[in-house]
Amino acid sequence: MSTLEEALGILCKEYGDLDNVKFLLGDGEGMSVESVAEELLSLAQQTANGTLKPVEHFAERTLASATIEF
Amino acid sequence: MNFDKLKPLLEALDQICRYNKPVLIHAHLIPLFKEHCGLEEIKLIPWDGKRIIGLHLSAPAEKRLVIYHKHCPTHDPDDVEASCPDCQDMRFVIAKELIHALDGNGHRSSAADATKTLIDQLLREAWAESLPGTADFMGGIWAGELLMRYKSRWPMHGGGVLAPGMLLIQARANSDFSYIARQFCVPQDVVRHLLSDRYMSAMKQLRQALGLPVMWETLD
Repeated sequence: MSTLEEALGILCKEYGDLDNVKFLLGDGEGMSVESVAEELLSLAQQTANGTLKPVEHFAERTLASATIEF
Repeated sequence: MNFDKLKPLLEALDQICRYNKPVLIHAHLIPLFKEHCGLEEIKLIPWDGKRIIGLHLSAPAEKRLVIYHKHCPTHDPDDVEASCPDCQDMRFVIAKELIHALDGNGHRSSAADATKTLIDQLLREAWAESLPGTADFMGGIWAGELLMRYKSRWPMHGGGVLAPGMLLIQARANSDFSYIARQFCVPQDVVRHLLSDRYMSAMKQLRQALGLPVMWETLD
């Protein structure tokens, strides 16, 4: 099993079968399938062990009260 | 792009957010994407990745969308700082990943396709190094249209019928779009593209083709 398959296996277990998987990649050096897959595996493992959690509060209060000038 | 879903979503966004107010991720976009894409849950998960700065995962059986996104190390999402480039990037990345919920059937990938999807993305990124803006540019366009709407840009740009406003004249003269970027909390480079004459003209034609308004007698 490849690193990518392992990572996606964990994520599918967490969220259910996935029908659209899209990556937005940075411009860091050493970009390759394996290096991205390793980062995805880390993301998946941190999700599974509860280290990564959804944002609970996202009020954007400063923006909510702002008015755009023209 | 599934324009059948995109059009009503853009119309609804203009209805719930006045032209002179910034679009909010949680208050505006999340409810709209849930409604228009038949989703029950959209999870936003901050992720401090070096290589992956955004990840869109769609789990259709659970009607669930999960987005991992770059986050700002300094500001909390409750108190985003509109002039902070990291906050601007975070909002743009989330909008870009939300846009994938509108991917047409031919553009959706599965977990089984992930290796091909990733290689495709790596190729695009490598190509984009020499041709900036070519990596996932459609996602970028529509993310921009969500966060800095045509209806909000129109009075600033002059809409092709009026002279551009002073803000845009000054930004162009100084090649500094930071003030406008701060008002919308959108990255400066994105603002520059969105307000270019050529882009505004092309978007006007696309909106006309979709049956979306391109000018307003009174803005609300």
